[in-house]
Amino acid sequence: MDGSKEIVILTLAVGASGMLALAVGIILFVFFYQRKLLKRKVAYQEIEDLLNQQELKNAYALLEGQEQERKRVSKELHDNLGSLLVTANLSLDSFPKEDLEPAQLKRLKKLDNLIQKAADETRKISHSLDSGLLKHFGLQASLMDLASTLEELTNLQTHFEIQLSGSLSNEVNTELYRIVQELVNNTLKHAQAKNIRLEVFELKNEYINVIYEDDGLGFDMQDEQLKKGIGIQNIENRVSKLNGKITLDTAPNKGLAVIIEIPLNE
Amino acid sequence: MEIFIDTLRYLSNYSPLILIVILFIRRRSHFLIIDQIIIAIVVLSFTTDITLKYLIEGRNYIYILIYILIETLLFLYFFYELLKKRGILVLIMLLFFLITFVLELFFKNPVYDLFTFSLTIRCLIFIILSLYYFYQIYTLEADIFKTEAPQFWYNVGILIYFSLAFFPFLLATEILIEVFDYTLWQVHNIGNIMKNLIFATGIWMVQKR
Repeated sequence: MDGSKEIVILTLAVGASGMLALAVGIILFVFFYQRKLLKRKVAYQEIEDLLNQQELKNAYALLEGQEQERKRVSKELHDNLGSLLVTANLSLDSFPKEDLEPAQLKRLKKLDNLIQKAADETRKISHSLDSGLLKHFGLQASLMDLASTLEELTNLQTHFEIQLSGSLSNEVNTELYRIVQELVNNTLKHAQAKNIRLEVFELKNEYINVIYEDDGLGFDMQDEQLKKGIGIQNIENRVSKLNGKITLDTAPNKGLAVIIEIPLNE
Repeated sequence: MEIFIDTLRYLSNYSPLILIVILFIRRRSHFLIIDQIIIAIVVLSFTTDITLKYLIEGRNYIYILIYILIETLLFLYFFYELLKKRGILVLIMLLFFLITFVLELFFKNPVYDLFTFSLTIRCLIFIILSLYYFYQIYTLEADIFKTEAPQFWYNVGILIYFSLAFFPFLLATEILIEVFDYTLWQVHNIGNIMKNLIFATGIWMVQKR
């Protein structure tokens, strides 16, 4: 009996400790493998964040470049082409008209009107590119001016409601104006809409809420190519530059609704 | 030595109380079916131990067999939920266990004999299933600490317990009948205490989901 007891004890001791060691070894392996996996995932996440940041930086640089280029073109239009047209207009005005026949006079008058119109258009384009109105009169006046221009030049009905304190930074003013400009451009180019509604509200000096709606054709939100093509990416980049949030709601033949929220204290 | 054995016996019997206390503290946690199965296993183990200790006199093998049968089904249900895509593997294991159990019923008397063969097979089954779960998370490279931390700890408890219980069950006739040295049976009790502590850790983790 003593011999068999010793065998039982030995078998139990070796067997149980062996099994326990094996189990603990496997558990430790899985545990540390999981930890390693977790660390690797965190590292990948960090790389992805860095890439996203870099991508955003590139997008901001692109926007900045666009803004500079707009200013340059605006200046060229205003200073060179605008001046030339004004000079041409003045020259035409000072042209002796006494010896001219009525038909020639009529053509001269038409030419004068055309040059005047070209000068006006050049000034408008120059202003819209450099947003001089924005600089001098602020976002509210610029948006209301945009509404009246749209009413004047297109068949669109505009319903603009703007409530701003006027103490917004230049960056916020410019970016918001460009965002609205881009949205209006999209509506004009692709939507075939009859109405545009824009609400811009400043909430307790903390947020600016922009609600933009049109009753046009809308588009498929899943179509990434289309979204890129109509400049949604550009709008998203501008919103992101201001640390804001953008929500789009649209579907084919359902119009477009865009809600943008921009924090003011960041 | 007596004190050592008694201490381990008491710890083995009352270690489920830790989980029950945690359960009471974290009663507002969102317990999934897997957590509920583990809670059911621990509560069943505790009530059976207490009942056998204080209410049943004499040879209690038949009650132990009934308890083991229910506990085995609960553990298999746990693995069925855990390895949902490989549920068939769990069903095969269930069939395998039932065959060994029925075979042993033919050759042994459940009142007087220990069903060592079925118990050992049971240990093997749960070691295999537990290892299979670890193999699965290893091959899938799943981030279990993010979503399945309690399951990981339950599985650790199961693997430790059945690895430690394998030899005591294999040698149960020798330990409890022929040699009758209850000190040797403490290997099983140590495994049981570890299992209950690790299960309690898993239940504690449920809150963090």
